[in-house]
Amino acid sequence: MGLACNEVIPRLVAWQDGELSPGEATQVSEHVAGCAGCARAHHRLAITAPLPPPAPPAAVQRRLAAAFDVDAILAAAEAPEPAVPPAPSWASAAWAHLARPSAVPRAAVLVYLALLAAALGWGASNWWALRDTGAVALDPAHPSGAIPASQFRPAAYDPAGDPEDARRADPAP
Amino acid sequence: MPRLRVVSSPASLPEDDEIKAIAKRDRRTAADWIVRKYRDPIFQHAAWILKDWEEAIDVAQDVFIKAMREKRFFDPDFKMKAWLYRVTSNLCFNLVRDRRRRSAILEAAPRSELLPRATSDEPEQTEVVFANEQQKRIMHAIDRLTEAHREILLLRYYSDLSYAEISDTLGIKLGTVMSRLSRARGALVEVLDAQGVEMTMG
Repeated sequence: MGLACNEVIPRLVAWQDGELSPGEATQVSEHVAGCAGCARAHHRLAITAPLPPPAPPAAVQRRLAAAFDVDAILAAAEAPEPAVPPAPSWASAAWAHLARPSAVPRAAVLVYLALLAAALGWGASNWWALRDTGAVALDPAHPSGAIPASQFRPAAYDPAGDPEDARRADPAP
Repeated sequence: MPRLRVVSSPASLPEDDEIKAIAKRDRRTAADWIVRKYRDPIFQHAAWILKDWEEAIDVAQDVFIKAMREKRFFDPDFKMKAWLYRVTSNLCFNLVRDRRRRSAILEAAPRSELLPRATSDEPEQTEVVFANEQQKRIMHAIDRLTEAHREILLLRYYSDLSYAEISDTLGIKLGTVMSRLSRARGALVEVLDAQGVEMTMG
């Protein structure tokens, strides 16, 4: 049974390169002989086949020959391998990423990082300040910081509570 | 269609297996044969990727030093030729990528921050390679393909490796060599068609 066009097309290059088995090569050549479309595709590929470039100029060949000395190569191979530079750390990788030309100017990234650091610092200092006043004291019984709803009592309804709370509470009507 | 293979090595050069046998007694002589047999092809493969003779000479030297450093290089089942081409390809495409990255950074930086560029990054030598206009156009079209397509086309048509050798070099299956080459040649036809140049046989 012969090959269909969609089986022949992907084999044309290998056929031209002489890399098909004799059986397959026969099937392809029989198909191409009887199919105008595949014959055209074959011709298009054949006329665009790259050919090896000629040898480099004589001057280059002389430089190449002069640069190659088997004893020098063996000596270089015997020598300890050049120290491999350490793998880039994540920080230098990040810097390289920033340093590469991109749509985001590097200055903008630096400004953004500075603002982010400032905001975080401001938040942290506020938190510590509040914590020192006891306003956000963590309950040792609830280290996660989650305080059961039952412990939240509006000060106004807890006259027996902390005097501080009692003072802040609205005076009874 | 009969396969035209370019005979690139004179008959006097020993087969890889003979070189491996020599290496058992005399590593230096074996190294000498390896250099004599593969120096030019490896240099040319590097030059076709890099488009720069001097850089290609440096890479070729590097490849042979790495080869002699490789403990298994003369082992009976070691694929010397595929190894040499693979290492060359990898070194060269890394250099091409570095070059592209460098020139992108140079392009992006304000001119005043830079010292004047002594030499252009653009290689000059490919123009002298082909006297044949059509093959020159084909070479330029290959340059515009993806790295994988460029690599496989150079290995097959410029370095004249067989599909089996390409399979060893790239570490891909024979069927993948066939399909990738078919797609690469298709892409090449498209680039040439887009340029609207009438190609002729020969």
